[in-house]
Amino acid sequence: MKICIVEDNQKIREELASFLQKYGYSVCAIADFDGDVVSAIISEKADLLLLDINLPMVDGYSICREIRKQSAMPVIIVTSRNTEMDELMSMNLGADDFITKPYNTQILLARINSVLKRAYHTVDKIDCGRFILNLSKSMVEYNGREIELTKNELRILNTLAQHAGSIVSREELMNDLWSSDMFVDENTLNVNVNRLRRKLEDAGLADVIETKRGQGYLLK
Amino acid sequence: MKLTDYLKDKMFFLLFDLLILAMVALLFYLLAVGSMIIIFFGAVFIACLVVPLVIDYHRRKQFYNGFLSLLDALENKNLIAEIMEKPDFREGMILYDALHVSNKAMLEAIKKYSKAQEEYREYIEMWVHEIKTPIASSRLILENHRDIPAAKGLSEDMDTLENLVEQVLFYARSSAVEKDYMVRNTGLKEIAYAVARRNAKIFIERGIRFETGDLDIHVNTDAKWIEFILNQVVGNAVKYCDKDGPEIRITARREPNAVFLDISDNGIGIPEEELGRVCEKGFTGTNGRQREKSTGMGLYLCARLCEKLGHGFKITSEYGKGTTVTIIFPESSMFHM
Repeated sequence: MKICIVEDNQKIREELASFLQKYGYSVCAIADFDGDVVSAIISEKADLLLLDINLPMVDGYSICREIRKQSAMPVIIVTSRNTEMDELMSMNLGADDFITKPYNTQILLARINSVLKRAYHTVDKIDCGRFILNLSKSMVEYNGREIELTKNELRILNTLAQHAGSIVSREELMNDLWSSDMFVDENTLNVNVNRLRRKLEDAGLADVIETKRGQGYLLK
Repeated sequence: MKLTDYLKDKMFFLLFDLLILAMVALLFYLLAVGSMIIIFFGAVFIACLVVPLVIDYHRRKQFYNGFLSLLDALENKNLIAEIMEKPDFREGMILYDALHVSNKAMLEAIKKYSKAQEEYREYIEMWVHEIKTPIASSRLILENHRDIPAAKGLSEDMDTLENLVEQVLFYARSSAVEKDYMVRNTGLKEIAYAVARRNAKIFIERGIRFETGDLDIHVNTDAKWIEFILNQVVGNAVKYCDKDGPEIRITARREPNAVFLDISDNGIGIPEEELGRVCEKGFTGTNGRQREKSTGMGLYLCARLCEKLGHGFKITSEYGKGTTVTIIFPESSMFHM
């Protein structure tokens, strides 16, 4: 998935690009606002547009309007103005979502994810080596069998899969759950991880999630 | 205006006239004019004196009494010049003109100050939006260098910084004269969840349980304002959560005349004698002073913003056991839409 960043602040542009790249997106950025910004964006053929509203020379809102006339690409508007008026205006211009600066990066990721999912109805599958995690059906596929997962279990396994091979701390897991409105505490996390482990074991997938004492969990 | 007051005012004039009358009468007497003529002359003289006085008194009495009762009935006394009757005698006109001139001068002074205040507010709003860019980029830089030792501390300070900046913004908004919010039908669940997400890091770090009750209720409010208020309240609850098994619970209930949103914690609570003052500007209290982090602005702003939105804001607490903040959305404010 390719994300196009329209942002006039150089630091934010670069840091945001490297942040998104770390999470597996390919990124292009528009840095030149003298020319025809709209056709520059269109020609990048990105899957999603992250559009800052306060730009030099041009107004982000008018860019959004132009993009909507020419393309159906999903747009997330990023702004430091956080009134209800701004949000309504963005939505009326056809933006898919609206996020205010300074953004919490986990929430930004969650928003990008859900907008992409809504726009492309992609069947998200992650190949985890021994099994396949089907995100859209919330299932683990293994040996022709399908193991159903709850919302929390799916989220946990997804996070572990994204960092496959490295340790994910319990805080990170919980942060991730919280950013998608599952406000679990430590005990619930334990219960969820154990139940997930048992489910996988029952299906013949033993020792998939390893506990690293004092550090976190690891997907093998 | 009383007759005696009026006569006192004209005393000098009356005495002088009587003196003249007496002297003329004396002169006539010395000239051996007949007493009937003197009495007739005296009567004419007094009539010429009294009739205009009575007419003048009446005119003034009517004007001043009307003026005073109008002033008394008026809520904004400074509007008197605009609605007073225009008098038809010289002194009254002087008063009328003077009031108008002074009113105009006052209006200009007010205009100057409100313009200055408006400019200041605009500057603050702009400043807040400007400073968000470096904050946003600092956050991203930190996120991309999470493994450096300083990252955690910096990131916590960044949270504090962001919260303080937001307070400034809402303070500027709360003191604005004009309406700066937009009331819409808003789901309490979305707001509560947004606040929980914003505070996720600190909740997890301190092991605070976040519980929600029934939140599937919609109220008419400004989503951004109420999110700020809720965030301040939750921020306080986190700050003063000092026990094993800390817990913060947000729940809503609909009653016949209003919707109640309760934010309760099982923290250290507020001493009873301070409960009435916690919403005062700059009040820090025992808890705030002991932790040296309180600015005394958070709850003050919450109460003030709630007042502007037409919501109620109530705090109950039991020292040592916990605090519950209740935001009340009266049913009547739902008909204002």
